[in-house]
Amino acid sequence: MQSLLILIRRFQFFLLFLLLESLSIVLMIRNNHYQNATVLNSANAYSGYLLNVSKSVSDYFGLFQVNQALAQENAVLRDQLIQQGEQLKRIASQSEELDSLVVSRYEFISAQVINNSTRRKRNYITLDKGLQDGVEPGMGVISSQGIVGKVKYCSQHFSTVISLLHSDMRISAQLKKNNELGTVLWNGVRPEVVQLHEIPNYLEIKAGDTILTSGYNATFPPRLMIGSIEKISRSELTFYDLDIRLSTSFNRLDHVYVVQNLLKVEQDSLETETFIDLDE
Amino acid sequence: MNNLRIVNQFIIFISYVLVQVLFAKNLELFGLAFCFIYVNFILLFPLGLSNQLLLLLAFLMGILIDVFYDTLGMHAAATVLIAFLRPRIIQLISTRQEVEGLTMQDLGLRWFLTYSISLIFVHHLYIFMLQQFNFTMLLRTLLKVVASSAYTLAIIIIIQYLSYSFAKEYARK
Repeated sequence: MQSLLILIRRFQFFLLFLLLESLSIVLMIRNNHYQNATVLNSANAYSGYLLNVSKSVSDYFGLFQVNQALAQENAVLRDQLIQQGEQLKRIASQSEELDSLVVSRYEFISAQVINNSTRRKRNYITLDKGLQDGVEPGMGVISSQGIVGKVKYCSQHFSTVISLLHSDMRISAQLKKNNELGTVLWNGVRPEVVQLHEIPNYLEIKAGDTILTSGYNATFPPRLMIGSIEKISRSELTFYDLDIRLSTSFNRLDHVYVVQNLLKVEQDSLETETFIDLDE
Repeated sequence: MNNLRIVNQFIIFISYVLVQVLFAKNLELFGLAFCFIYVNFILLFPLGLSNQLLLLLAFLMGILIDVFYDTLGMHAAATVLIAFLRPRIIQLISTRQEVEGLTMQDLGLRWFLTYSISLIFVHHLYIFMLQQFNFTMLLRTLLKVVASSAYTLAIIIIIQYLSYSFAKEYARK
């Protein structure tokens, strides 16, 4: 017994080596046979995490390009969505022929907000796209959450947008529930809340009802999200005073889309002509 | 003092694992040369510390590397093997000259190369043989071993030079 212990002490290093080496080999062979049945596979959760972190760091350097590509793609998809929506509507109304003009009426230009204010009474937004990218004064601007505003001035590479949070910005809107028309106008108090006017008070409405764009203007595509009713009050005799919580968070505006209505000029000139005719 | 050195080695240990799995793992050349920089930890492990400790650390390091390479046991086997061979080679060298440390400055270029090439070569040969597990494509495996050994050695030498000049700079201040 004594001599055995001495022997072990003497070959301690070698024995430890043998032990570890055979352990490694056993692990390896077992791992080759049952890839998933190994003890240390759970450690892969941690190694996977670490590799993920490393990947996300290297991914970070490509973020700018990825972002741009995504925004571009979004614009295309949004385009398709509207087109398909129009198509569906047409089919649903069982019209005989598809009006190709209506189908491709709107196009979207993706843009980045580079300046924005919400604290003033008349707020403006600056975008990084201008005339050269096809942006023109009068076009609508929307985000993925809802409407944003209307282009006012354009330079070659930039444009300024009258924000919805502008005390002179009126937008024709409708209740989703019953298509009743009203006008959205901001009172300049809270940047999350605008007011909806001209909804007659005999209508039954409740908080949470959705407000959409009406499409009675050439700026925005119809039935785009504006917000939902937050507070109902009745100061006037015939109309409600409605507070609308905006679906767009103006304080965190980043990517937006400029709406290009391809038939706007046609629609506008026809309408003006009509008025002139009436005046005469 | 010894404890401090062990803690020191522990930090170096962690950094070698991180450098290997986060950085050197991607430094593959033509599918032929692989960089196993973590071997440097075994090569430069201080002489004064126990060899058993080195054996255990080698095993631990091999397992950690394996976890990231999804080759459980392979690197561990190779690393334990060179940790086992290391004292023998040092003994061999010490019959020819006094061994005070294991860096290039201590051993001189010739003995340092002998020492590190033999261990790196054994390590890489063992790994690639285990990976292949048979003798088909022996030539390609050997080519891989030679290319990877040269690659790892080159990087180890670069690190040595860098850390040497860094240490000198530090000593001057």
